[in-house]
Amino acid sequence: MLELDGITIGYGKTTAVENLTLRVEQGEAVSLVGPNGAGKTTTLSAVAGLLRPRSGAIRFEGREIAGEPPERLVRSGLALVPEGRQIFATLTVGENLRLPLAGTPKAEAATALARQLDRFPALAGRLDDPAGGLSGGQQQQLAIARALLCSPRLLLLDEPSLGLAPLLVDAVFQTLAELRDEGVTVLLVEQNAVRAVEFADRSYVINAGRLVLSGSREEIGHRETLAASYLGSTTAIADAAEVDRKEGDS
Amino acid sequence: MKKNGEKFLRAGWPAISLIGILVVVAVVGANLNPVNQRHTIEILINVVLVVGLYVFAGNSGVLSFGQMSFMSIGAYTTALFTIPVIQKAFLLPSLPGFIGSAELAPIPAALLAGAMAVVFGLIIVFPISRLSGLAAALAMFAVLVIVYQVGINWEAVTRGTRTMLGVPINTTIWSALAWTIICVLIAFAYQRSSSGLRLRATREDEFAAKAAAISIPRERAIAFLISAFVVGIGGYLYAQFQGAFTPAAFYTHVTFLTIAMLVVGGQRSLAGAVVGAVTVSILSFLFNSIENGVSAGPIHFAGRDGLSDTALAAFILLALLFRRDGIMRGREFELRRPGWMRRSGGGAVGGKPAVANTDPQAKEA
Amino acid sequence: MTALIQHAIDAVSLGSLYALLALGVAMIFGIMNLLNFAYGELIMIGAYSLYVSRDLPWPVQLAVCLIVVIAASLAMDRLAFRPFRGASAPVLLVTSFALSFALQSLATVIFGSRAKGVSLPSFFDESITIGSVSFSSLNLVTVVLVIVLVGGLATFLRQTTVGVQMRAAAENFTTARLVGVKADRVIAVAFALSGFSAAVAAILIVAQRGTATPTLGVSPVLIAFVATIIGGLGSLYGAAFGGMLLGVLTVVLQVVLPDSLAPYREAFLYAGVIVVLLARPQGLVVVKALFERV
Repeated sequence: MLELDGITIGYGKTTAVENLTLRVEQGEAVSLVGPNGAGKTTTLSAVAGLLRPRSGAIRFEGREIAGEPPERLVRSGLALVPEGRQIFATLTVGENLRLPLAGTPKAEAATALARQLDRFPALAGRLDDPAGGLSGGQQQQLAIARALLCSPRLLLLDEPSLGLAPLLVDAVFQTLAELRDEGVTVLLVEQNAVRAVEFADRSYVINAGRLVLSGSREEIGHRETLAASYLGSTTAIADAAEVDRKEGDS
Repeated sequence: MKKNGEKFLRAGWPAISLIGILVVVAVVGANLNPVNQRHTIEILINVVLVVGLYVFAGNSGVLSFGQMSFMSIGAYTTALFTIPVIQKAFLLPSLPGFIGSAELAPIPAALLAGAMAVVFGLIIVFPISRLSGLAAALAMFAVLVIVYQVGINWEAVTRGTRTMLGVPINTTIWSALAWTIICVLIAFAYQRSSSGLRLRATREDEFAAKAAAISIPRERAIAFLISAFVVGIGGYLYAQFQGAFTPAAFYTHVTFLTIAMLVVGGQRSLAGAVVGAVTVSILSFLFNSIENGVSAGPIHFAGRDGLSDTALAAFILLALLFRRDGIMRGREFELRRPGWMRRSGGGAVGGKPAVANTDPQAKEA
Repeated sequence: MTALIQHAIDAVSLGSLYALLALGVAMIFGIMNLLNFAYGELIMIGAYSLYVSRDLPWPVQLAVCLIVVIAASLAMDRLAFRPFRGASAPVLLVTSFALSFALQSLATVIFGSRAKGVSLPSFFDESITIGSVSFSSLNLVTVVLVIVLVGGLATFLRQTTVGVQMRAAAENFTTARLVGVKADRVIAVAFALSGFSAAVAAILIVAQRGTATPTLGVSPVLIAFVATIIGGLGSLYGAAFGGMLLGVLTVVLQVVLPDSLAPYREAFLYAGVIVVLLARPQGLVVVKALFERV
C-alpha cells in the first residue's frame, strides 16, 4: 500500500534520513521506532506531504506521491495524526471534528461523526467547548478522531503516546489495536519502542537516519535485539574498531 | 614573510575585492560626463547607506525599516554645523548660539554626523535590541516615522517641510570613495571581530546561540550603533552632495531602495550589500534615463513620471523571486586556495563557515 | 459637555475606520504571516476606481470600487505572493514592500502624481445636528458600517465552513492542511476579505479627503500595522480593538496636547507603539515565528 523506496531527506546541509526503504501492506500495522532524532518524524512528514525528499520515491497505492501537497494527500486516503497532537485550541471540539468533513454530504458527515463519538464518548459531551480546554488524553483522542474523519485508508501516527500518563498510553494503544482490528492500515512512529513493536505486525528500527533493523513482531520482539539495535551506533563503531585492529595486526 | 603577506591577502580579500570594485566604479565614473559623475557619487553614497544597513540587518538577521533615520540625523547634523554662519543666521534664526556660530570642515563634520547618529542610536538601542523579527522591523519603522514627523515639525532646527539649503558641497567622487572604503573596512572589521562573529552565530541559530551564553541584545546593540555611525556618515555625504534637502529625503523612498539593494545583493554578506547597492543604483539610473525619454532613430519614446520606479520595483520583485538569497547568496569574494590545498568540506565559501569555525565560547575565554 | 460628546463621536468614528484597516491587515497576517504593505495600495486602487467611475451613478461607482479592489487583492495573491509561499516573514515583508512601491509608481505613471478630485454622493457629508451636538453623516456611516462589517465577519468565521477553516488555518496552517483544508483557497478568501475591507476603507477615506493620490494608502497601512501590533498580530478581535484604541488615542492626543506639541501627535503615537512592543516583547507578534522552527 505504501512504499518508501530509498528516500533521502535533509534540511539545508544536514541529512536527516538516508536511503530509507520501507513498506506497509494493506491491513497491516507497522511501526517505525528509534531514538530521539533518528529521523522518524521527518520520514512521516515526507509521507504526509509536508517535506519533499531529496531523492527516492514514495508510492501510495502504486502512485508516486512525493511532493504532493498535504491537502491533496488527505483526500487520496492518507491521514496524519501529527506529533504533539496539534489540535486547534481556539476552535471548539465540534469545529475541530467537522474540519475534515468539509464538502461531505450532510447525512454522511453526521454518520461519520457519530461513529467517532461512539469510539470516544468523552468528546461527545464537549462538542461546544474550546478544544484547548481538553485534557491531554482527550486532546489525543480528538486528534485521532479528527484524522479518522478524513476516512483514511492509511493512518499515520506520530508519537501518539508522547507526554501522556501511563494509563492514557494504554488507552491510546487500545484504540490503535481496535483500529487495526477494524482493518485500518496503520504506520506508527514511536519513541516508546517496546510498546510499538509489541503492537505492530512488523517494525522498522532506524537510528541516525538509517535503517538498522526490520522484521516481524516475533523476529525483533526480543528486548535484547531491540536494545542492541538502539545501541547500534556505538557497538557498531566498537565492532568496526575491533575489525580495524585485527586487520592492522595481520 | 611572503607567507604572512599571502595570509593577510587571503584573510582580507573579501574587503580588498570590494574596495577594488569601488575604485573601478569611481575611476570609470570620473571619466564620464558630468551627469554620470554625479550618478557615480550617488552610487558610492548608496553603498555607504546599504553597508550601514547591512552591519545591523545583515549580521543580525533582523530587518530594520528605520535605519535611514540615522541618515536623517547625519544629514541635518551636517547642515547645522557646516552651513556658513552668515547664511545660517538668515535660514535658521532661532538656533542656539553655539550651533549658530559653528562652521565645521568636512572631516570633522562627517565624524560629528556619525557621532550624532550614534548618540541617537544610544537612545533607542536599548529597546530595539531586545526585539526580534517583525517586532524589531516595525519598531524601527516607528522610529523612522517619529524622526520624520519631528523633522517636518521642528521648524527652528530643520526648517520643517521647507528645504534645508546652503549646505556646502564638498562631496566629490574621491571624497565619497574615501568614505565608502572606510565604511566597507569598518563593516568588514566588525564582521570579523569576535562580537560580529557572535552576532552572526545568533543569526544562524538564535536558540543555539543563547545556549552558548551569547547575549543577543548586547551583540545586536553593538552592531546597531556601528550601523548608526556608518549610515550617519552616509547622511553627511548626502547632505554635502545635494546641498539642499527636506525630511522626505530620508523617509520611505530611501528606506525602500536601500532595503531592496541589500536584499537584491544578498543580505547575508558584505559583498551582497556592496554588489546590490552598485547594481540597483546603476539600474535605477538606466531606468531614469528611459523615463526622461528615449529616441531610437525615428521612434521617440516620450517617457512618463514613475516609469523608472515601476521598472525598478518590478526588477526587485523578479530578483526576489528568482534569487531569494540575493546575487551573492550570502557569499563573500574569497581567494580560492588551489584545489590540492583544500580539505574536503573545508573549501566552502562565504560567511557561514567563518561562523561555524569559530567557537564563540573559545573566543570569550 | 457638548465638546466632550463631540470629541467622543470623532474618536469612535476614527477608531472604527482604523479598526477596519487593521482587520484587513490582520486577516492576511493571521493566515500567512504576511504583513502586507501593499494593502495600502489596495485602498489607493479603490480611490482611483472611484475617480475613474466618477460620472456613473453612485451605486455603480461604489460597486465598481468594491469589485475592482477585491479583484486586485486576489490578483495580488495569485501573481505576487503565491510564488513566495513558504518564504520567511521578512522575505514576505520585503516582497510586499516592493509590490507597494511598484503599484504606487504605476499609479504615478497612469494618473500622474498630482491629486485627482473625486466626488462622492452628498449624503456622506451632510451635517447632522442633535441638540447642540452636530456631526457629519460620514461619522455615522463609518461607525454603522464598521459595526455591521465586524458583526458580519464574526458570523462568517463562526458559521461557515470556510470561516472555520480560516480560523483553523490562522491557528496552525500546516495542521489545517493535514485535515484537508485547501491552503490556496483559504488564502484567496482571506485576500478577498482583505480587499473588501480595503474597498470600504477607500470609500470612507475618499469621502473624507475628496481626492486620490498615488501615495494615498501609505498612512492608512501604517496605521493598520500599528493597530494590528497593538492588538497582537494574528488575532482579528485584537486588531479591531487595537484600531479602535489607536483612533481614540489620536483624538485624545489632538485634544490634550498643547498647541506647541500638537503637530507631534503622530510622533507620540509611534513612540507609544514602541512602548507597546517593549511591554510585550514576546508579544503575539513573535510567538508564531518562534514556533516555526522545525
